[in-house]
Amino acid sequence: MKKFQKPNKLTNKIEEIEKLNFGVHIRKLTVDKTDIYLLFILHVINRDRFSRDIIEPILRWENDGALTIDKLADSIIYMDDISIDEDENNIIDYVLNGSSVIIIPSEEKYLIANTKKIEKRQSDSPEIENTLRGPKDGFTENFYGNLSLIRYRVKDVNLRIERMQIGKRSRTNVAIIYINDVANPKFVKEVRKRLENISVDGIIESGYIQKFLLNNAYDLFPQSGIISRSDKASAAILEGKVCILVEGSNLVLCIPKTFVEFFDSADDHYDNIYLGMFSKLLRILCFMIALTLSSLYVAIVAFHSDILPEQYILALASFRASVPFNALLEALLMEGMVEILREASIRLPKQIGPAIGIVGTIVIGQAAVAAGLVSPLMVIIASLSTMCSFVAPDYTIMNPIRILKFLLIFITGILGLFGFVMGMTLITINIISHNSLGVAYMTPIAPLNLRDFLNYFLSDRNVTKERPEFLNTLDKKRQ
Amino acid sequence: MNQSLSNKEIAFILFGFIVGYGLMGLPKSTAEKAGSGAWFVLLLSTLLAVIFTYIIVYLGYIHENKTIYEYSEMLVGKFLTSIFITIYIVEFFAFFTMIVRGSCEIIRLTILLKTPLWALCLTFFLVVYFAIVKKLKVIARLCELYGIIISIVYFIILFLVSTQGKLLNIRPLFESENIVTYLKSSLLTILPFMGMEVITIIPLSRKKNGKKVFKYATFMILFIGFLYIIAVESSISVMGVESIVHFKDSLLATVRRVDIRWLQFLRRLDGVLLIVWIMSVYCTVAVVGYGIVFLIMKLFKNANFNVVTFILIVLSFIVSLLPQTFDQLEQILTYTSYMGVLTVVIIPVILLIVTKVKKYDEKVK
Amino acid sequence: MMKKLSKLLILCILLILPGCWDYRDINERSIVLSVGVDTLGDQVEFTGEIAKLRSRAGEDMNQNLAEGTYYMEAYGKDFEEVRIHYDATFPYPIFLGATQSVIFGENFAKQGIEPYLNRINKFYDYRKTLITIVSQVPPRELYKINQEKETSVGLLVEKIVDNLKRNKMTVYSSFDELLSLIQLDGVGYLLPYVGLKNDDIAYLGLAVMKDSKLVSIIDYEETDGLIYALAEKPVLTESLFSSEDKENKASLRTAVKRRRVKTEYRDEKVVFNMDLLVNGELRYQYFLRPIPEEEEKYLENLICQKIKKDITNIFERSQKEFKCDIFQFAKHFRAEHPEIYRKLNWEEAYMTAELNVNVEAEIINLGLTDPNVDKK
Repeated sequence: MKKFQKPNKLTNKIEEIEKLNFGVHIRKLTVDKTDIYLLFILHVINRDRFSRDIIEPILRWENDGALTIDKLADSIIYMDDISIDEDENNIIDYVLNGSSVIIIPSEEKYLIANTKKIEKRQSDSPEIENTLRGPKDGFTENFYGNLSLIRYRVKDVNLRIERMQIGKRSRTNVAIIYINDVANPKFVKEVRKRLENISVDGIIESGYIQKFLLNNAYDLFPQSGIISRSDKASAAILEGKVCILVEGSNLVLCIPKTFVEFFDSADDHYDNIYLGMFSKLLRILCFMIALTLSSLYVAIVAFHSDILPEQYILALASFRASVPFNALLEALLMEGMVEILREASIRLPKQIGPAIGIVGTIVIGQAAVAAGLVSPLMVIIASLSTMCSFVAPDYTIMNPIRILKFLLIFITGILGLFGFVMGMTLITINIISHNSLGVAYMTPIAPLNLRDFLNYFLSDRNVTKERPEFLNTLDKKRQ
Repeated sequence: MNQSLSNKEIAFILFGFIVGYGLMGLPKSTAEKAGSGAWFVLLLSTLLAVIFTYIIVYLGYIHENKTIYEYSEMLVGKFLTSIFITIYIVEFFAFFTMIVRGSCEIIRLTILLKTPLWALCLTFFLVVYFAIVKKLKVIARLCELYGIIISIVYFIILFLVSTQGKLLNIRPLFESENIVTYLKSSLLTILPFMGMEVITIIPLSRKKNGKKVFKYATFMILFIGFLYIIAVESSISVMGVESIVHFKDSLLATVRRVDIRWLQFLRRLDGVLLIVWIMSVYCTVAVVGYGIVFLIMKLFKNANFNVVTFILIVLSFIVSLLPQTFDQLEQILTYTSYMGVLTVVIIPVILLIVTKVKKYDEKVK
Repeated sequence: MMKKLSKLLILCILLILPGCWDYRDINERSIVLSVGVDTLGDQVEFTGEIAKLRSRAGEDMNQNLAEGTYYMEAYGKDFEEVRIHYDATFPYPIFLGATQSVIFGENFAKQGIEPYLNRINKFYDYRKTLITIVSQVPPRELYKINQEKETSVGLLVEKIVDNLKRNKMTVYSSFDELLSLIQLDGVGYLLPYVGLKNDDIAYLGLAVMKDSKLVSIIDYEETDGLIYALAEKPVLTESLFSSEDKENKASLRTAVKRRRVKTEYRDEKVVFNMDLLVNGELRYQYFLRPIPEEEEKYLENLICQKIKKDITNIFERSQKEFKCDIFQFAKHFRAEHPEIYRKLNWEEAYMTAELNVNVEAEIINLGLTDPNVDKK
């Protein structure tokens, strides 16, 4: 135990920290009779930089004159990110955050040097938003790296990055990013308010925040989008949206987000205008197929076969001639099986995943048909509707569909086409009653806004010169 | 909570309310009255409907941000207002229950022959409950979304149907000797247009809606009239006047007679038609249901919205099962439509006259 | 709170609905492909074909869809009784949504088919797009013929007739047309008439129905006039002798480009004026000869006369023999003179009506071969 000659609040703190024993290293340097204490946690700091840029220059310092904090900061230490503080209670926070704290016992203030070490993953092409065309730099788990990716694309002086810490225990850095003179201040205020109201022990991933942004915890459909591509995030910011970056998460949140925007991919904006329109329509069609195809099958096979022409009726009937299950059970069974395969293929180790996925699908499907358990048509329908559910660039919109699909099959199985319409109406009302930060979820269809509608489908900056109306941006014009 | 709507939403609520149950039997009822001159009768009644809509919208426009309860109280006093409101509630309620019953009856007679009526009605009411508790804004958006789908699909179906029809069947287009019959029956065929009274429960704001609300409402009524005319004419062109009058579900019967080969597996259109028709009935019922709850809430200020809705749904479910036969049901619907004359024509006109006499509209200007 | 409860409530009740009242898989229904109706003595006879479904699991997938049909028959005093007997023979409930043809035996057709038409009309199951056919032989014999062309006789008959109609080789009223036609007094309609020719099912002509009763048959060869007068944009082929060479025939494709029917009421008499504009195309000549302009004129004239004769022949037959308006002139007359129509007894008025056919023919091309070559 060292005795300090002149104990002050900082030296007391050092003693206190030493007693607490939670892994803080205290290194004492003596230069020219001046004691310098360095406080740090060994495994969170960048040790190379720490010894090269802090310890080395201090020990090499040979000039006369007393060593002060100001002098250290101004002309000795090589570090770039340093700051000076006086409140001794913040010391622990700084140290825990990966900074090193430099204390000279004779002074009231201390120096903080950001020596944080970050386990870096190379920024590589994003896994969940693959595109054929478009840059390959996806977000990583590195907070500052992600910030730099956005800054690199949007160099506007009005780009605002508001930082805050959320999580009593995790103390996760969260940044709200928007362009000051574009984004609707209402949205920014609302996001800030909602984030400030979060009181939780820890934020591990942006998914936590996403849930706190919901209007109602039981809402079915996501109200904020996830973005893993930096180009898409920048585009969203330019559009007047608010992005939320969470430390330790490779997914950036984007809010407000409406239903149709979940079907908007980055390549729609890079590729030919017609292709963009086509693929958007295709994706929305796929959404409908994923939701309704199986239940329509049940409705037609079990209730209203006569809405098909006679050749189709005969084909359907002979497909199903030897199937022991009724159509309702068959549909539930196959959809359930496909869901199992899908779940399993996500969990399987990467090396065997693809193999099992394909083998499982083909073998089980083929065998089920050969054994006469299900009709070949049902296999086609189940696999088609599953394929369709992978089409959305932001997969979160498809998750509720995977559940609602079963509900719809059930109602259709009980009440036929009438049940189908009622089930669809329930789902539609649910979707319509959502809103994302007060923007109606089905915008621009309900409420109908023809300009936004075209704006959405054309996805070409050259033709649509204005930002979407529902975002109510400060700067309405794109060009 | 702010429940004022944009002009588009008001127009689509009108569409959702008016187009629905009635369309199924419309070709029959108009052809019965006016033969192949049905289009002219519909044209006349559309124009009549436009006038009444104009009156009702005018009332809402003059009395800014007020619904019928508030401005009626201001104009004619509390006692008369509660009578008016009760009439509205009774009409809406009869409409609400009987439409659900009627459409479930049609569904049971056509596609779900063995399903008991109560199951259909119960499902219908529960799903309607789900919409009503979400309140006007969501219902309006639903009407908007469904309205777009419904009108597009109807037009496609009717276009396809009319390609199979024969021009000979809709001739003679106009018989000048029959003009008196036409005029008379146009007063009766205004019944399928009933539904503009819904505007009385929507507060209009002059700032948000502006004068354009007249344009939107009028346009929508004309659009509905156009849809009706197309529906009736294409049905007659396929079936012929003498055949169509035998079908209460004349539109469905028409579509079931059509087989369009090049559409392959979609060549039989009746499934699509039924889906769209149920959707349109749903819109009607949801709007009416909201109207009832809204007016009840005006009379009993302290009630809980959801509880009132729930009671209404349970009550309607019971009432909807009361009529024993389809004929009874149709009679009730006819009487309800006569009551509609009260709510669409008489009460608004009274209120309009009082407004004019007391010169409220001039104060506003 | 209330909201969440209500959501739960809705979900629960919907799922608890113990339902599936109308639930019936398509493979567990008897898919009726064709229905035959006839009389046997004083009893009504129903016959029919049910699709035979065979499992295709593990088998060659290239087989025909319907593996053949079952034959069914039942008798009874009236339709309802027959249906009871009919139902008693089926393993599954009957499904009529795939029925494409209803075949009436000649005997039944003579007694009147209207009751059964109304039955089809009011049964929701029946598609209203099916074809009603009159058969020379009783349907039961028709069904029993072992067909190699097709697995189902009903489908075969329907396809034969439908194909002819599409190629404008016959005119008959589809089911939805005849439903509105039976509402008009004095208007008859035509149904396809099939029978056996050399032990094979064949289209024989048109059955004339008056008040839904079979009155007469028009042979296949004699239907040209009707096709010219009624079919939609008909295209027929005519072979005509040339003016000089009595051996040589020219085969022409004649297409009706415009047909206009005007009606008049003159001196208490109904007059129909039918204007036809016919375009002819030379397909080939039996022997290649030059066709000068006079020859073209001659051929055009010949076509005119032929068509005129065909139509007036049938019209006269309809007045004298069938005694009903099979041309559906009533609709035209009603459309143009609704007031007079309401006062007339159409059946009587038609008997004294007059038909003026005015045909204009024009040969518009001689094909790619040039018969008028300058031989040097």
